[in-house]
Amino acid sequence: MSDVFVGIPPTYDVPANAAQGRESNPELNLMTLAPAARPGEAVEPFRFTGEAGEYFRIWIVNTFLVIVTFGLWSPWAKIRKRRFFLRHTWVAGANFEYHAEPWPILRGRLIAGAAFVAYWFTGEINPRYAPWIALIIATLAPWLVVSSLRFNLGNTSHRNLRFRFEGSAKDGLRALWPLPLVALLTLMYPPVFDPTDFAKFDWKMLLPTLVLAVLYPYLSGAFRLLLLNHARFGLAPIACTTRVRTFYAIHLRGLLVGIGLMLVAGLLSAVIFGAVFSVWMTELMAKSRWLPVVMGLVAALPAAFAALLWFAFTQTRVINATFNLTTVSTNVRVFSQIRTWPMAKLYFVNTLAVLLSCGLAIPWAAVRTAKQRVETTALAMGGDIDDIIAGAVPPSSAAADAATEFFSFDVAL
Amino acid sequence: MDTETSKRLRAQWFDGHSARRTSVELVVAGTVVEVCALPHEAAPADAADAGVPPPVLAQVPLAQVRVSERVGNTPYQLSFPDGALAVTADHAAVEAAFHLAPAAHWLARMERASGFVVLAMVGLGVALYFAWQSLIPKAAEAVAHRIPREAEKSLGTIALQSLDRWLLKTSRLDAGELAAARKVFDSLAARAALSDTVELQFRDTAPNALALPGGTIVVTDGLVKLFRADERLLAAVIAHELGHVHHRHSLRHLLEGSASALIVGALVGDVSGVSTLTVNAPILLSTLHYTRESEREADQYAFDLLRRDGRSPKDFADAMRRFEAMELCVALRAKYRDDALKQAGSSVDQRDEPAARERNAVACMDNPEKALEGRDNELAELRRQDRETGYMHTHPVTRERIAAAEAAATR
Repeated sequence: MSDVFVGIPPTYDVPANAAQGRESNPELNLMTLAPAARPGEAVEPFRFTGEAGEYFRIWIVNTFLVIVTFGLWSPWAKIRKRRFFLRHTWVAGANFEYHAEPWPILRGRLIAGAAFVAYWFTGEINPRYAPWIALIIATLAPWLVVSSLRFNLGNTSHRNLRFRFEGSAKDGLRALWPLPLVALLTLMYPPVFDPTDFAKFDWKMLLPTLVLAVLYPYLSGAFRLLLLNHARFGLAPIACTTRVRTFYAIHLRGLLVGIGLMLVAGLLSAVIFGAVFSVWMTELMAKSRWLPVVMGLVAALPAAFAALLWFAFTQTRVINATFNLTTVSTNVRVFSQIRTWPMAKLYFVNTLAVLLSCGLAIPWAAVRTAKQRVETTALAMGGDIDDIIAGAVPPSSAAADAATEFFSFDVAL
Repeated sequence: MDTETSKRLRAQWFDGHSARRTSVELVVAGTVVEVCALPHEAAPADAADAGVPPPVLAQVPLAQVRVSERVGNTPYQLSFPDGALAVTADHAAVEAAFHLAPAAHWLARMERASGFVVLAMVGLGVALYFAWQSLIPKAAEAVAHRIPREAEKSLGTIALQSLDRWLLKTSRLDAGELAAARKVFDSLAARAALSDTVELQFRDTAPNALALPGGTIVVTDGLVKLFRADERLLAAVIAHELGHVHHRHSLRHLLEGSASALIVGALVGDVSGVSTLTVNAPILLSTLHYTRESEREADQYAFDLLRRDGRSPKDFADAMRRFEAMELCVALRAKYRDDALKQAGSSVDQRDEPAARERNAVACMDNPEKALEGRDNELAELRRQDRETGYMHTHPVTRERIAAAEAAATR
């Protein structure tokens, strides 16, 4: 897979037009390009040394154990998988380590699992209660997310110094308030749609979706700022100065690009569908059991790739704009230069490989993804990292972390 | 120091107080580990003092050093009692110095043994197949029967409300037709010991019957018309729907769907950026498998109930045959109409198209056998083209269901 973009290019020069201030928001240059290294700064790229075959053994054995123990092995599996990825991630001659203990995770997962079953059952059996339950979960989300970050960062170390997360539930609410707001609006204006009677269509039912769409860039940016601005490496504070308006600029561009991509993909899909429904194809399709399904998938491919490209377009810009304005202590800057096309290609190939291999390519896909994410990042060290000293590790609970997994909040950058 | 019995290995040393990295050599002599700093690469001036012994950073008993379990080819993490850490990828040296078997932990040994990896692969396949084929449906059945029927009631009410809003109209059957259908229903429900649970409702739409969560059974005007008030055929379909209620199928589908989603999520969950198709395609296929199984189960229940009610499973075969004739008739008429349109080109008035379809449908639904009379060749052609893609359907193939009913009737 030599064509997968790996590693930071050796130069970090910002193009000339950026220097002339063509953009009203200079942060936007950092969406695609890492900043130039300053004189005296040593650039240390991140490296990922794990291999697919190596991870396959870990993955298959632990997944097997998870299935035959009805999920009870999952905390051990999680720790082992995470250790594989963190211990194989290197920067400046040192790797990372994961410290979580399996038993607290198991207890946390059992508690969160019981809550999830109660939630699921109430919502499925009595849909009338579902929006109320969603409101409760969304209101608890800031606390859950903050606790989960405290658990995950507190259990990660580098150079034998722990990371830590010091954000409070209040900090969480300041970033994630759109979640309870949208849940409340959904409760007030439930989506009841009658396709046979457009006259009765109530526009207010679009309100929750519209509010979520308008606040989404805020939510995605504020969450990253919450994480980075309340995190420490040892005693050294981590800080990110990206402004919320930058996230709006990125998602607005993403919207325009997405519309363009969908038009092109729709046209391609239409051409393929046209071919499928041509006369000879109809004859051929009638003779086969599998061909209709295969052709359906082929016709869906352009749209699938366009969706991935769109996702990658905004995702890479959000990652770069966030990390390129992140510092650790006063003298370490983070550089990130992940690119749209390689990321979209990676995800597309991963999806196809996982589907065609009936899941056996999952470890290969996971390692490729990690390698790309890790190796497009670097640190620029202006001074000696040795000066950073250890801090105390605050206590944390595994239950909230397990809950965020069950209720699928994406607690990751 | 006795260099012949001591073992040496290179490592990176982190004292736990600062982020400083020191390249060290661990010297394991007997039961003692000594950590010696190497001359720093970045400061060759220090190394110039040849002859000066390297500073000893730590000296601890071997037993107090904790060696992390090995994960793949990741480096060993050696924890020292004062909180310091040595990291080394020299696996062989660590295993020799600390008298560990290669990959001492049982888990690491499993992961390294290719035989066990193959075993896990096969075992995972077998376990997933077993879970899908037997464990999930059986567990869902056991759980469903322990949940009171009252719990499903509101789900059924909501389902019927939305069906009424979108799809179903008030029944236009006359009092005689209603009373006849009710009589058949009451007799079967009593025989099934479900009289307190089920409730019959009539609605006007195309031929169909449904069992909603909570025990409401909906019979459509279309079905009564299609069966031309033949209570034998109606009883067969009602018995099938009572089978769904008896076996708690709507609740079981919920449970089975969630279990499938949980397992697929656990498998695919830890790789990001694999699109939703990867997650949803296997869930959809397994859901369809479960609904087909439920239909077979409801069919078997119906055969038994019909016999207990003094009827025959042959009635079910007849009902399915009538149903199949209707579907074939509709398909044939549509094809016939399409061909006519194709031959006539644009000269046919397109506005007439929906009305014509409607007329065809009505003819097919009133008496499909009569509408199909004398068209055996066309039917054979249609059947030849219609290779059913069974794995994508919610119901088993109709001909299989008819065959099963006839087999049950001869027993």
